[in-house]
Amino acid sequence: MESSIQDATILLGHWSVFGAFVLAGWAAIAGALGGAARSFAMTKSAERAVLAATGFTLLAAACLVRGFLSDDFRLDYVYLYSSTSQALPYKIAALWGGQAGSLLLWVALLAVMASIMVLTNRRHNRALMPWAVAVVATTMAFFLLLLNVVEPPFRMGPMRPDGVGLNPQLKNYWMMIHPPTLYVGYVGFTIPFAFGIAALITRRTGDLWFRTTRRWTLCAWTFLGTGILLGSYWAYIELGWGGYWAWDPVENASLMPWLTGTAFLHSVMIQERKGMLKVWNALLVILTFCLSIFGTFLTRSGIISSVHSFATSNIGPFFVTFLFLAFFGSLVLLILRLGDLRSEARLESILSREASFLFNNMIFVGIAGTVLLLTTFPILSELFTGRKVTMGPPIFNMVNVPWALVLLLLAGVGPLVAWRKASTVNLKRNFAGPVLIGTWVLLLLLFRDVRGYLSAVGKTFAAMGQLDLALALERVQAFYPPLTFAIGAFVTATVVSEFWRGTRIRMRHHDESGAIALGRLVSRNKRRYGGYIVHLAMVTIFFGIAGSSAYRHESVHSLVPGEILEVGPYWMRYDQLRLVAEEDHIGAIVEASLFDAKDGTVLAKLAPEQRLHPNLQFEELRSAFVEARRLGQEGSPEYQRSVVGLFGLIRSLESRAQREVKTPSTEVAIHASWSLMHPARLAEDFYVIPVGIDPDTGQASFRVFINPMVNLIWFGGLLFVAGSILGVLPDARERNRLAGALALEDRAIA
Amino acid sequence: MDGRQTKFVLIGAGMLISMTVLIVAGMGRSGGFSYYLTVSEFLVDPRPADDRYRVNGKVVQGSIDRLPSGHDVRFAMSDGTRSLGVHYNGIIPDTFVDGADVVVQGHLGADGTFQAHTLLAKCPSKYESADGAEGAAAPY
Amino acid sequence: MVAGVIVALLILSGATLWVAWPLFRPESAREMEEPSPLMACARELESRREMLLSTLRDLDEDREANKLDPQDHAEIRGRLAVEAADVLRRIDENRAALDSEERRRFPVIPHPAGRPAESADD
Repeated sequence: MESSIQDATILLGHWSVFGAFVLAGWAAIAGALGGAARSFAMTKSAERAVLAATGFTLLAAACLVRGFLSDDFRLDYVYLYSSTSQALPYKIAALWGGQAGSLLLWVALLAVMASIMVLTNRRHNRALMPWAVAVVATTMAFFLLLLNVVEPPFRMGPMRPDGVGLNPQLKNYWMMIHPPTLYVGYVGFTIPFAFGIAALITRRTGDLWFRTTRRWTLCAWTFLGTGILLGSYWAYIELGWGGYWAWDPVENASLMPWLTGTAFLHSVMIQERKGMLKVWNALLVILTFCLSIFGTFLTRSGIISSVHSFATSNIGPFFVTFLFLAFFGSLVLLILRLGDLRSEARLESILSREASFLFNNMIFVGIAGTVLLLTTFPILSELFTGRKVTMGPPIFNMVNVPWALVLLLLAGVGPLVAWRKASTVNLKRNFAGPVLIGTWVLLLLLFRDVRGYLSAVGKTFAAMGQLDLALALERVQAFYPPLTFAIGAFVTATVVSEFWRGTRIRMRHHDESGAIALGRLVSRNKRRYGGYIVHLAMVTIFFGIAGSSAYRHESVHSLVPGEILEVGPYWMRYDQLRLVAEEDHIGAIVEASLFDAKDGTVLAKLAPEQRLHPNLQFEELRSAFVEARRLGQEGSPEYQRSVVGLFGLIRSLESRAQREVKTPSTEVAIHASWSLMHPARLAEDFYVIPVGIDPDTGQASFRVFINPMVNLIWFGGLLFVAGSILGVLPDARERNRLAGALALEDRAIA
Repeated sequence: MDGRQTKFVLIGAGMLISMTVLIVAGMGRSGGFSYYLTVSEFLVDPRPADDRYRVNGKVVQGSIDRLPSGHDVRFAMSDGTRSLGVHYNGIIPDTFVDGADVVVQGHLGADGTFQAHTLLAKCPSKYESADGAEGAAAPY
Repeated sequence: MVAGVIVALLILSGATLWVAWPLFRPESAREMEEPSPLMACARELESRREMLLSTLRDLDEDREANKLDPQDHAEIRGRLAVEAADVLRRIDENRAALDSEERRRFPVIPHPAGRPAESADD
C-alpha cells in the first residue's frame, strides 16, 4: 500500500510540473492575446491559468516533500540531499538543498505571488492586468521549462538503502530560513516589473503601476535585505572564519538587486510628487528584475567559479537567453515609449530633496554597477582575453567603501532638505547641531590615536608624492572607521531631530502630549518614519562593519587541558576535552571557561567542537560507530575509549583506503558581550574556533577572534526589519489615493 | 539642457570617472586581481615569486595529509591531466575533502610545491552553491 | 496505480475546463473599451490634483519644520495654488461633460455624480 502511494506521489509530482508548465505557458499567451485584443474572456482565462498553474506547482513541491518524508531514495534528489537519520526539519529544508528543488521552490514562490496579484486585482487594473499576467506567467513558464527539460526534480534511479544526506554545514537553523527569504526577495520584484512592463505596453504610464505595486516592491526589498543579512549571519556562525562578508559572487548576486531596488524606492517618490524621472524609474525596475534573475543564475549555475562548468551546467544557456530577451526586450519597449514618458516638471534647485535623491540614485546604481563589473570580471576577461582574472575583496572594499560613506551621509542630508527648494539659511540652521555632533565624534576618535592618524596622513601624502595612487588610497583607508562613526553620529542626529521636530509641531497644533503626538506622527506617516528607522538601521550596521573590521583581533593558540590563554581583556581556560558519538557524527568538544581578565569573573562556558561525519558505507566504520552509540553512557571510560578508537579508526582506514572516509564540520563558540559594565565592549564577540584537536592527548589549537561591535550588524538588521514593516503596513492616505485612482481607471474601461 | 541639468551630468560623469579610477587603482594592489588558472595552465609557465595566481583543480583522492597543528595541510591537486603538490597554512574549510573542487592562491615554492595562503573549497556534488563556502577569504 | 492515473486525469481535465470556460461563455465576446477622451482626461486631471495636493502638504510641512524659507514657501505655494485652482476648474468642467456623455450612453441608469473615489468598491 505504502509503496503504491509512493509511486502515485512520484507520478503525480512529475506530471504536475508538466501541467504547471503548460498552464503557465497558456497564461502567458492568453494574457498577451487578452491584452492585445482587449478581450475580457481571454484575460479571465489567463488569470485562471495562473491560479491553476500555482496549484500544480504547489502540488509538485508537496510531492517532493512527501518523497523526502517517506525516505523514497529512488528519487535521485531525495537520495542526494537526505538520509534516514536526517532530522525532520532538515528533511523539509532539503527541498532547497540542491538545484532542482531550489528552482521548484523559486517557481512555487513566484506562483503564489502571481496568484495573490491575480486575486487582489480581480476587479481592478483591468487594462494592465492582462499584460502583467503575461509577463509573470512568462517568467513562471521559463523556470518550469527548466524543471521539465533540464532539471527534473522527480528523476528516478534504483532504490537505495540510504541517502547521501545534506551537507553538515547546511544543517543549520539559519540556513533553513535564509534561502527561502532570499528567494521571496528575488521573486517579489517580478510583480512590480510586470506592472511596469504592462504600463509601458498599454501606454498607461501614469502613477497607477507603481502605486499598485508599492507594497510589493517594499516587501520584496525587505525580504531581500533580510535574506542578505541572514546569509551573512549564517556565514559568521557556521563557516568559522570570523567574518561575515567576503564579496563572494553569491553574496554580490543578492546585493545588486537590493541596491537598485533601494534606488527605485527613493526615486519613485519623486515621480509621485512631481511626475519626473519616469524613464529612470522604468529603467530601475527593469534593472532590478534582471539583476534578480541574474542573481538566481549566479547562485545556481556556478558560472563564476569556472566558465567551463557553465558549459557543462545545462541551465546556463537557458538563463542567458532568457536574461538577454528580458533585458533587451524591455529596453526596446522603453525606447519605443520614450514619447509617453516625458517629464512633467523640472528640477527646481540643486539644494532640494529631489536632488539629494538623485545623487543617492547615482551612487546606488554606481555601486551596483561596480559590483556587477567586478563580479563578472572573470567571465569578461576570459571571453575577451582568454585569461581568467578574478577580483579579490580588497578591490571591492577600495571601490565601494568611500561611496558607501557618501551614501550614508546622504541618508542624513536627505531628510533635512526641503522638497523643491531649500534655502542655505535654513540648511545652516538645521544642520548646525548634527554637523557639530559629527565633528565632535570625529575629533574625539582622532585624538584617541593622534600619532597613528598623523602617520597615516604622512604615509598617504608620501604615496601621493610617489604618484602611487593605489597606495595612497590604501593608506587613506585608515580614516574610514572614524569617518564612519562621525557620519553615523551626524545621520543619527538628523533623524532624531526629524522625529523631534515632527512631534513638536503636532504637539503645538493638536494639543497632544509628547508620547501621543509621536505615536500619531509615526502612524500617520508610516512610510516616511519607517524610512527614517531604516536609515538608523543602516547607521547601526555601518557601525558594526566599521568596528568589527577596523578593531578586530585575530590569533592562533595551542593549548592543553588546564592551560589558560590570555587574549585582550579575556582569559580562556581550556577545562577538558569531551568526546561524543551523536546520531550522525563523532565530536571532540573543547570545554572551556571564559573569564574577565580584570576581575576574574566567569563570563561564559564555551564549547567549540570539531565533528567528523563518518561515511557509513564503510562496514568497519559503521559497526564501530553503532557500537560506540550503543555504549551510550556519556562519561564512562569505555565510551570515551570507543570514541577515541573511532577517531583512530578513521585515520587508519583513510591511509588504508587511500581516501577520506569522513566529512568534517566545525562548531564555533561565541560569547557576545552585552554588559553595560563594559561599554567599550558592548556588542563585542569573543569568537573561538578549534582548528585542530588531538583526541588522544587533548592538545588543541584554536583560532580566536575578538570582533568588536559585530553584534550591531545583527541588531541593525532587526531595526531594518522593524522599519520596513512599518513602511509596508497599510496607510490610510496611500490607500485612499490608490482607491481613487483605481476607481477612475475602472470606470474608464468598464 | 539648462544649467542644473548640466551640473547633474557633470556630477554623474565625475562619479563615473572616480569609480573607474578606484577600480583601476584597486587592481594594482595585492589581494586585488589575480589570474585564475587550471593546474596545467599554471604549470606551463609558473613564475615562482608571483603571488597573483589562483589555481583550481580537484583534490587528488587520498592525498590529504593534515599536519598535527591543525592548520597545516599538504595535498595534491589535479585537473585531470597534471597534478601539483600544495602546502597550505591557515583555516582549513570544512568543505575541504577528497575530490573537492579547490582554488588555492599563493606562489610556487623553491621545492616545487605550491605555497598557498588562501584555500577555497567546494564540496563535490553537494549543494552546488554553498553560499560563502569560500571559507578562508576573510576580509573582515 | 490505475486509480492514481484516473485521479490525475480528473484533476487535469478539471483544470483545463476551468481555465477554458471563460472563452465559451456568451458574454465572452465583450471587449474592454478604449476609454473615451473625456475619461482619459478625467484620470489625468485627478492624478494631477492628487499630486498637487500632496505637494502642497509637503510644502507646508517643510515650512513648518523650518526647512523652507517663508519667501520661497509663499512663492512656490502661490504658483501651485494657481495651478491647483486651474486643475479643479477643469475637473468640474470635465465632470459635467462626462455626466452628460454618460446620460447619453446609459439613459436608463443615471450615474451618481459623486466623487469618483466614493465608488471605489464595485
